[in-house]
Amino acid sequence: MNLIDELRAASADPPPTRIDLDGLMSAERRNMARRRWVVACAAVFTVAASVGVVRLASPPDLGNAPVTTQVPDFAHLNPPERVWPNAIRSLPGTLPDGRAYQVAAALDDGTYLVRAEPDPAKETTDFEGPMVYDPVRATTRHLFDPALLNGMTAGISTGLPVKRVGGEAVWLLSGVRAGKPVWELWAAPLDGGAPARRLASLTEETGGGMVMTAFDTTGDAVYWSIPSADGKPAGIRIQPLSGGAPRYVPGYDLTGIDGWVSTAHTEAQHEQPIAGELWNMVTDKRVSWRVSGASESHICDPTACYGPAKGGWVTHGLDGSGVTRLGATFRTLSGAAFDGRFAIGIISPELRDGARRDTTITQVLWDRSTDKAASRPIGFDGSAVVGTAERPLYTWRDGDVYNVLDLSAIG
Amino acid sequence: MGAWCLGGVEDFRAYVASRLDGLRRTAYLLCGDWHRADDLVSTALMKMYRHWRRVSMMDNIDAYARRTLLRTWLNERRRGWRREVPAGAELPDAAHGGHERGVTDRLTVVAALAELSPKRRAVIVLRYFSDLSVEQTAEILGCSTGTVKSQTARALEALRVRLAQDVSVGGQDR
Repeated sequence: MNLIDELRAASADPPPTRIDLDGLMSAERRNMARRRWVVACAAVFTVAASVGVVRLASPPDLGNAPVTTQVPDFAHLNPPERVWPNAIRSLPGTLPDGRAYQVAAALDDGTYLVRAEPDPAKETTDFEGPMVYDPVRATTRHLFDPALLNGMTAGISTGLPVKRVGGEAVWLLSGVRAGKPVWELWAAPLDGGAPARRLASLTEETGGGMVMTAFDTTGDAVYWSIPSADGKPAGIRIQPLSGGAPRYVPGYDLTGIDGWVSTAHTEAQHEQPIAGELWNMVTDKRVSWRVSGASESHICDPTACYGPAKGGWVTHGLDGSGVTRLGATFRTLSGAAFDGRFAIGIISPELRDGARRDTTITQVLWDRSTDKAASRPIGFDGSAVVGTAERPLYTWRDGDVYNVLDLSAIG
Repeated sequence: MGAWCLGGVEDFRAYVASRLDGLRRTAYLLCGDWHRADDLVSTALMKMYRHWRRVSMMDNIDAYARRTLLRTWLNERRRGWRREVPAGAELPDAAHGGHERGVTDRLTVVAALAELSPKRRAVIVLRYFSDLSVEQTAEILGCSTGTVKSQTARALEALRVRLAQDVSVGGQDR
């Protein structure tokens, strides 16, 4: 087999594109105009947004709630604003300085840990680090002084994760120092009581490469996966925020759900495993899973398994029983939150003659404990699942408003 | 390519028109799904459009476009779900003979790519689909040429194991 020929053949005959270039350009022009306008009207926005704030109740402990098997009608769902209106807080669409931003976590006093998006008018991006944003007072407080970078320059300063770990913010920085790429984890107390510090260097573990863009957290530590040369799990390394050397735990990999690691290596596996274990390092709870045989491949979170089968996707229990079809519109599972209580998937119109009827991509957020679900079209709106294991957030922009759905506040 | 001199809307349209097919195919080989590939390319193009005045003055716009596409793909994976379902899993049962056999082979290659780690998948796509040199690939990925070579070798070996057949790469070195 000639790989070059095969790659060309594999990507030959693409379907008609869904990309609407004029629409993209119009949307971006509107965004840029809106950013400029928002700078001038920041005070007005802040007042308007504070009026719309929903006071959230204390988060109930609903993790690991029982899973029901009543599949929602994915083709006819309401948006989150109608399904869970009391769990949504609407924030200004931009920071006081007019820049767009991404929420990383909710803090206890109504403020947020955020990361600003780069100013499109600037030629370069800065190593700015995260900040605490108070939407009521319209203030931001930086947690990082770029003077601490010790010669790091010209790196990836956007799109890298920022997370809350207890009373601290932790974030990944990538740049170039002395001509070589470097990856570092930094931490700073959220109250600003001490300067930011370098928590760990990940440069060696990335092999100088680019894929170290994820880490997960426990209540007092961060952990990341170790790339392996042979495609088998090489384990994770856990770095306590209190310092010291990171601890090596072989055989596990990240799951994308804070606190949980998995024995099923998923990045370079040669065969689909048929069983595995998920381990919550905070509670020491261990969950075994086994595939049903109904699906051709599978994704298991701490609550249920999902996978594509002939005729569409299915879900089943962790022991392989209770296979339930999700219907023809369910296209793929793209994430999970709150110990797997919430499944996040993509739905699209049914197939007809091998082609989709339209180009709409819709994200569905499905509460497996109540089987309530909501959907919304996704685009370039910053939709993401962020926050902490105890207080996960689903965020998205809607015009000049930035919505934060607190999943832990959904009863 | 040389500098894209004007930096206006029509220049951006012209650039996209000339590169859209290649970007979509690159994205498809990275993510294994045409639907998602269009999303990735859309996001990357919007980022390029946002900075087009500056981007248009770059010596190598294509390298910037590929880098933007790669980072968009990596960020999407990070924000969503680290586990990816092999692309062939949601496609029809394997067919037999003639044209259908060809389709099956293509899916097999895409599925095998999907089982590579992101870095290895990226080096394979950039080197053997985008036809970039080791140095160009290293520049886009932000890593050393040694890393590109070692990742390429390991990726090719993994593909050989997965596809259960010899994988040649024409006259290119590994």
